[in-house]
Amino acid sequence: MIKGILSIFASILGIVASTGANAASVFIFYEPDVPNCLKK
Amino acid sequence: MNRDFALKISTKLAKKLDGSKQDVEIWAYGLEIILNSVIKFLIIAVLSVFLGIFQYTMFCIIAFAFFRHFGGGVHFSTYLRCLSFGVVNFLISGEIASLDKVLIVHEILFYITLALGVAAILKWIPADTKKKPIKEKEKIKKQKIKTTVVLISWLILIIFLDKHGKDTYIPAITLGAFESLLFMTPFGYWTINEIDNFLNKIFIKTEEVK
Repeated sequence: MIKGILSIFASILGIVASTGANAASVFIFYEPDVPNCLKK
Repeated sequence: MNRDFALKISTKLAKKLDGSKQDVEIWAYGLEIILNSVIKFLIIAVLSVFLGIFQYTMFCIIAFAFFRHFGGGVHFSTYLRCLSFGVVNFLISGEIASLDKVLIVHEILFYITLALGVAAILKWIPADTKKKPIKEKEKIKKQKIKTTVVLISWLILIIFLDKHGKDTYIPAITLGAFESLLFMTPFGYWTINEIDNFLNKIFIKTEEVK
């Protein structure tokens, strides 16, 4: 059960990371360093 | 600070889910984006409630976010600067948008924003950064098209609200769009970079004194 919830949480973080790497951060004026694995 | 916290959580998550080193990097990056946005949003939301400008500030942020997501824009070099500037900027914008001004001021701002939008799409979008450079022609074209859709939707929304007499939030929506577009222009980049450089100098001087 807990592992399932954590997996969903991890998936959400993955989606946010890939979206964040491909678009500007919505309303923040700072962008964290993009991990090498997400750089195209 | 957020980076360290995000890394700690992601490392723990990887232990539970047997994630790889790459997974940790991706999750930490995703979590950092969420933390940065949530902290900033909460501070703005709470302060705008206290100032009685919550709705105006939110409309301003929503308009800003739509343009920025697709069009891009300049960034500060540290999160603290981003947070400070963003909070002050959005609260001032909310306050300005809540003021009763002469209609002509709204109209002028609307036409300036529209012209800026067209110019930005033609010349500066996607407004990329060193961390996320956009060079592919196909991607540039896509970003321009998406921002054009946002600009047309913004235009339709303004006309709709105006025709139906619900013009209370038009200044907020217009101001949010204007600011977002301004930070895509060379002037926007210059302004933020100058502030950033100035703060870098102060920071170095403070370190030297210590």
